[in-house]
Amino acid sequence: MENLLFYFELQYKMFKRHLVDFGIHPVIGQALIVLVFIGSSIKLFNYSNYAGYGFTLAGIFVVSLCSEPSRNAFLKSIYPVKNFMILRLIENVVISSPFILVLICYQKYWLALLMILFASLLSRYTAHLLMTFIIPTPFFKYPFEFTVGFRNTYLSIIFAYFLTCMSIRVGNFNLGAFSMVMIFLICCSYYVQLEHEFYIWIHSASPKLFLMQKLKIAITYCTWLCLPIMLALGIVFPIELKTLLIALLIGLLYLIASVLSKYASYPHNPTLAQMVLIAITILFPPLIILVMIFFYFKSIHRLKQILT
Amino acid sequence: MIDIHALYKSYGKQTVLEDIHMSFMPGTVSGIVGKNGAGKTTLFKCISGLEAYSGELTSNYKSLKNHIGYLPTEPFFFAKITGREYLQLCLNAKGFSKTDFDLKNIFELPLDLYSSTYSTGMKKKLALTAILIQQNQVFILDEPFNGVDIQSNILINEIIHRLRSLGKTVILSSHIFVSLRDTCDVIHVLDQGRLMKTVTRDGFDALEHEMKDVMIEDRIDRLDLK
Repeated sequence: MENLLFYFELQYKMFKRHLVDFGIHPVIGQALIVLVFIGSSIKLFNYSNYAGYGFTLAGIFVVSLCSEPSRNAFLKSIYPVKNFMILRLIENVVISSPFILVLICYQKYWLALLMILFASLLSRYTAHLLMTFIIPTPFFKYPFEFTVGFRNTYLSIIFAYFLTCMSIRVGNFNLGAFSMVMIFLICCSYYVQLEHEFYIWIHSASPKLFLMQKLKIAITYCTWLCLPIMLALGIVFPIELKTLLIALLIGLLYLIASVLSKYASYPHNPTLAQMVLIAITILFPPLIILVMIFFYFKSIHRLKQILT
Repeated sequence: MIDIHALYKSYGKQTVLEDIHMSFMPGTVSGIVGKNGAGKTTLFKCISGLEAYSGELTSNYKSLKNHIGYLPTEPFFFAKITGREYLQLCLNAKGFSKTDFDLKNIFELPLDLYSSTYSTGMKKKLALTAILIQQNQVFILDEPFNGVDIQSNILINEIIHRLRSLGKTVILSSHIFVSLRDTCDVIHVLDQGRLMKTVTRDGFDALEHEMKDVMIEDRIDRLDLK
């Protein structure tokens, strides 16, 4: 057990290093993560009766991140089989426990059970099958964010569409609106990971043109993904058409901010200050315009070093 | 000794390895050659216990996996792990206690830096150091010379010779034929998942010529270089 203990100590150490690199003291960072998790869980469960499904899916997604093939192959190659199994099980139980606790608190016992089941099963699963199966994507024309992102999150997208269907079935517009928010969050997540400098350097474009191309692709493809939800909700809830259009506009503004935020700190990850700025705009959405302009000029400055 | 008998491996409908028969003896260095996609890495993963397969794979060890040191083509590293911590993790995983990493840092790597900041060659050297200090009996080295500087290449060559003299089983792949000729006792040729032939030392020159002829053909002429 001693060697397993070292592994978990090391994982915790690495987690704290991530927080430090993010520009935040580990103690404050951990406290913030707990607070944000509890706060957003309460908000989500107060928002909709169906929040449990989305919450469970989010939990399974987080747990599944540990089933990444190269990570599992490495652990499997260095640990004896039995230790590897124990290690992965403990890892998944630890990660899923906050989600399970919240589900139990909200008396979603079946979902909590489902979560436990998935966490246990995923500890023995490595995403091998997905490696050989090429998931078709409608976004092949302009790689890579949406092409790769779609392949990584297609299950979540299907789930969002499922929520739209459910919202129509039960006549709950809010649930449909939530599915649209989910699509925006998924699209924003495509711009979290930094690409290698090479993928920027190969463009024969000025920083301005490069950014415009990126934004055009993001706006077009995100709108495509939202369109089925908007059409369905627009037909069933015609009275809410204006709300849908406003939601689309706000969602796209946040998507643009995400793209610009990524390049504003490139080649480093977005800083805490950037995150705080975006968080402030959630409290007062019109501020997003100013934040976008600020990120835009910072991005141009960063990209100049690579593209010119 | 490791014995492979009628090993098959498929991903869905795609057969990657077909009816493989091979033996790997202690104190010998076996090379595996083949084009990209011939199935070399998959074979290594099957032997290492990282991939399920059908067929028979037997050895003298109760659990072969626990005696293998596997160096993948692209070793995996956690994002914020230092070289020293990586070595400690690999050592601990096999149940060994601490060792003098500075003494065993034969490639003179900056062990206190994040391994993610290492170059390709440095990552390979770190992963190789890790499996060496684990005191394994079987070494599977997938492209050990790739991306590594010339001095380290010489050192790796010598390490392989030393492992052989210590009676360890070494299985390696390389696209650099000279490296294989210098280190291997036997070379297995894979093509489209099938074992085409097994060649011993006296047949290495003929194999090299044959591979050259098959590979080059009229391909360069087809490029119409001017």
